[in-house]
Amino acid sequence: MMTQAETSTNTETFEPTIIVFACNWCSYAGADLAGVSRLKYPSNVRIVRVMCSGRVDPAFVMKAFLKGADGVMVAGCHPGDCHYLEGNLRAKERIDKMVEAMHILGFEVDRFRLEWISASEGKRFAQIMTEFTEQIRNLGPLKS
Amino acid sequence: MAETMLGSVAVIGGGIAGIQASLDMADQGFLVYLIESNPSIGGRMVQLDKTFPTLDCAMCILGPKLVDVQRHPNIRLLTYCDPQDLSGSPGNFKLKYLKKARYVDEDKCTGCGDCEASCPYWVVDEFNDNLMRKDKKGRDKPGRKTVSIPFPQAVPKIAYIQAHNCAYLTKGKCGICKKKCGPGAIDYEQKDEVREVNVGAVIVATGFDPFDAKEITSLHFGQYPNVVTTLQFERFLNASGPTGGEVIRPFDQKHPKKIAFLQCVGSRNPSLNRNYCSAACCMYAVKEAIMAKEHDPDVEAYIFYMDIRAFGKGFEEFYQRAITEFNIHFIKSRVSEIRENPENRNLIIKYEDFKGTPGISTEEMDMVVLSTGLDPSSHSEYLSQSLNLELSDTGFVVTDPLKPLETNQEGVFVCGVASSPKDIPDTVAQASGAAAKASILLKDVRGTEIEEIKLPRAIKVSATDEPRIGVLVCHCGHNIGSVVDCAEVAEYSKQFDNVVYATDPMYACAADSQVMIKEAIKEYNLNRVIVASCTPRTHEPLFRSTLMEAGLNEFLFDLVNLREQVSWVHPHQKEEANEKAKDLVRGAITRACGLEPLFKEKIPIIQKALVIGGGSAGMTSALDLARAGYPVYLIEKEAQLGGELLKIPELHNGLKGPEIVTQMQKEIENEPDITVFTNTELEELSGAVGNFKGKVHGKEINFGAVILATGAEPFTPNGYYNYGTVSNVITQRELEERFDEVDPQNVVMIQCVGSREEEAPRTYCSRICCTVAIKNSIRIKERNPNANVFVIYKDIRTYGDLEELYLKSRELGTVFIRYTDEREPIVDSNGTVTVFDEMLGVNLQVTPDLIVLSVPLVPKPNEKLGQMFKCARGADNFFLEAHVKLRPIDFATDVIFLAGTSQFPKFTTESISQGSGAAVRVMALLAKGYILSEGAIANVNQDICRGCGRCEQVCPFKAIELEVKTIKMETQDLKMVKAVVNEGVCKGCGTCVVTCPVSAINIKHFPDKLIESQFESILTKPDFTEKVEADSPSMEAP
Repeated sequence: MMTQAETSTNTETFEPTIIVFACNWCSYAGADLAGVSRLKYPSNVRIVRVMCSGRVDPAFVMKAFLKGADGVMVAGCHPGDCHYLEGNLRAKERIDKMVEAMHILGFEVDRFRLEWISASEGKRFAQIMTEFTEQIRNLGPLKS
Repeated sequence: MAETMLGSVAVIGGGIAGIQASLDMADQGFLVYLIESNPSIGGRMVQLDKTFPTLDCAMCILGPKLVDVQRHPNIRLLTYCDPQDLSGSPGNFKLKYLKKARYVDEDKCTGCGDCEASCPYWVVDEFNDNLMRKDKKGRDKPGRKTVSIPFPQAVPKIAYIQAHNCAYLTKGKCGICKKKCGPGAIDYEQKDEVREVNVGAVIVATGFDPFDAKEITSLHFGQYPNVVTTLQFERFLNASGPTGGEVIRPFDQKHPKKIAFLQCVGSRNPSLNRNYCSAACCMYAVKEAIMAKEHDPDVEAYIFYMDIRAFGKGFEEFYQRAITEFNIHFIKSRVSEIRENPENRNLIIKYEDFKGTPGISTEEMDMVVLSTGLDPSSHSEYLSQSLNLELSDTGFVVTDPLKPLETNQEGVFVCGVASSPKDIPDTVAQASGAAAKASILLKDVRGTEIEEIKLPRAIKVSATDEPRIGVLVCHCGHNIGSVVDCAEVAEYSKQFDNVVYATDPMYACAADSQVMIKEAIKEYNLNRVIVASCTPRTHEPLFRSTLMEAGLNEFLFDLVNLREQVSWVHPHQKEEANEKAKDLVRGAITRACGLEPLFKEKIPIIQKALVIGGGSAGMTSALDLARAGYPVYLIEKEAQLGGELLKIPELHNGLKGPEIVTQMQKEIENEPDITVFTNTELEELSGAVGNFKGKVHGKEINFGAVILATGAEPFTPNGYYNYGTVSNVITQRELEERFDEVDPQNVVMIQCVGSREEEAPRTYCSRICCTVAIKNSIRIKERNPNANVFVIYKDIRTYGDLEELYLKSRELGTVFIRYTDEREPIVDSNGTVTVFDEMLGVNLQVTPDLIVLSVPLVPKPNEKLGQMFKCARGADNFFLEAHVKLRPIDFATDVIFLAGTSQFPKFTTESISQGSGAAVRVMALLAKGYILSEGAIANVNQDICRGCGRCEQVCPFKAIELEVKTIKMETQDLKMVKAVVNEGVCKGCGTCVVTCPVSAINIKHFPDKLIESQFESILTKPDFTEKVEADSPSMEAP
């Protein structure tokens, strides 16, 4: 299958596709608040709801890249806020290792982010999405 | 007592106290009327940005509770209602209330917000504590519309009109909102109505209002723009506040760099008839100062205080972090006046710094924040008039120290700040406790007022059945429809093989749409339903119920969030929004194909409780449970029940410890449902959660739920201040034991001996020692007014009403001398005490008859029990509750609870409240007789599992255990270790799934393959050209 990234040739008009794994209790709620507050952010973001950031297997991130995502983010509760006590800390442990491996393999680690976004941080959610989209736009399409 | 008892209760006040009490009653099968004066529940806590001491986001932890209340089948929400009159008798009351006109039909309003967007009139925003928003030209603008939803997460999410501000209702002009309201919910003809409910009991949870700082004119609140209250500051900090989380000076929108917090505004002030300490302000000021620094590291924050009252769990550590990590300046001084610098609108504060330079200092601040105290709620007036409750002269509901949850009216219970200022965890524990008391009164009529919901026979759906999906793409009036082409998205979804029905209703959540969904399920034999509308966090329960009413399993449903994630955030990118909507719907369709029906298993539990620890908390728990009709085993390690109370001849409130114990013992003897074991411990434990087997005195006992109330005891201060070597150095407890034998002329008491230390485990403030010392100072002075009592302290922490005792002790002539960590007092081998007096700036020396050390409470040995029940302990060695703010008496495991000083040092009254609170948590479990698994829980493939145990290690709920399984082979039996999930305990977070090295575990409803298929589908745009030609004629338009 041709991914969006491969069909795009001009980086100026390049619109990346971004997958955000958001935990149900904080970051997904933060996205909801961004919506309720009518805060605009780029439409490139596609949210996949998971119950906890600790549910996100680093393999999901890699697979998302393989299937054509230009950027991937995992968003969970701030440390201490986790609805499941410490799932977010587990997520961080695993993801830190994954990022290290990505780095060793020469992958552009800037295409991935782990963020803590709370249910009251609608504005922050929108800001981070805007920033991250811009960052991926600048990186251009993912060469596979 | 009434002849006809009613199994229902009215909870007055919808703050965190009322919410907790309602949930605890409703979970047991009582019908609850939750009456709230405001248009939404949530109380004061929803206005908070963060909560101390963990800096949890308030909305993140409270939001799920709001939704729990709304979806609970046994709770009726009566918002925007004021109680008016209570008549009848315990067990059968009639409560009249005024239902204030919202001018919005609650049944029709969908909460879409179109009315709010259309309304041309702005009014003061109470939710943001009347703060103004700034328009683009920097002019002050009121914060909300005349018709509005109170705040984004409001429950119920229904608009209301502030009648006195509405142009139509006052002048008959405008009427725009009615025209714009799609569902026709605006109703200008609504009138206030008096209605009534019949209930068996009443729980009062009316909470507080912040003190009106305008009453202290010298602080110029409301006059100097840069003087704000802590609640306003909270809204500045909050990301959804009027400044979007930016801390600004109201006068010029600049970021303040020097911020002063003034403590005790409206507290500890006899001239304002507020002798009491408000108990929460010190910590919320510390929290706000820290948050201000987090927002802007350049901020210098000053807290002007009398005593920093960091007396709760984790508070002292939080306070120390504020000093060391965040460099907050703490200045011990009460500021009596603020003046404004007319040039820059800065604020000039004059104060006397007891620690630094003598004389008056001045400091110019960019902004001043007033830590306003907790006044009893303005509704407390009707508590006395309509409910005939006795109120103190400060306006709080009067209670007995041994019956802290009961009022002078039988059948009317009280919890939270309504009875005295307290913080959130104490409020939550009391709310549960009040529910316990109401449950005991109504135990014989439990379940009589609620209706069991009858569901139709379930449609069988198996994983191998061909998916037949129905898709509804909701317009939500204009909210989605004006950006996303809903009809086109519905058409698009029809192109997928498994989608057999698609439509685009105006409001998918409206009542008529539910009928439509049910009919479609029948007509098209749907076995999966997708609604593309708004957030599942609020609307999933509704659609799931609709599916169940149609006989379809609730897990065969998925929601796509087009409103919050598409139309509201990409309003000007219609083309991209449409593409995104299609991508998300496509992902959901792919995911839906793999959804399987799931059943929440009922796991039966033994309807008996075990209480470990026979002190005041444990005895209260046992009594309440037995009185509510549940058999209880009560285990006490000592020969006699009573715990530490036995050793306290006189409490601070004058009650005698041993007398309280004797009374409670008698009551326990009279309860045949309580089996007491003394002189023993739980010897063995086996069985699963909810079905425990234990051994006591060699006898086997079976029980379903446990309360750990193992208590605490005074620390032995060997090596501190020559304790153990100089004979007249004793502890407060030893003084109490010998009180009648000694008659000292000169006594020195030293506070914080062995507590508030730098290193764990005793970094905490032990909460009660100040009051104990003051109690003993009063007893000494009352017996011998000529005796000299010196209390050497760091901060006096007599919170709430205890402040009265501090005042009394000072009036009697006790001398209080403050010391700091840098200059601790010294006791030499001759028993001479040397202390540096900050105020006088000199060293004082005295050789008293007695040197009394105030030592902290330390937990009684609890390690073994902790391991047995897998209950965590904190760095302070006290048991660690599930959540320090909202679950103070729960452990992470659903059937195990804690109470009393096993959680943290506390007074007998507080232990009793917690004991009752823990009891009701157990009642809710035992009443049902089962625990319900979550449905979407972990599942181990036993063939693949190799028993490495990594999942067991990471499970935060201890829901996974390794078991030895015997596998029958031809020649011999093979023993293998396998991971087993306890379905009653698993919460479905999925962290085990990712940990498993061989992919043997998955989470139902969120297995790897469904998550992967969803995002892969989102990332893969299919080519429909062939399918459209071949299949489209067979598709029916709805």
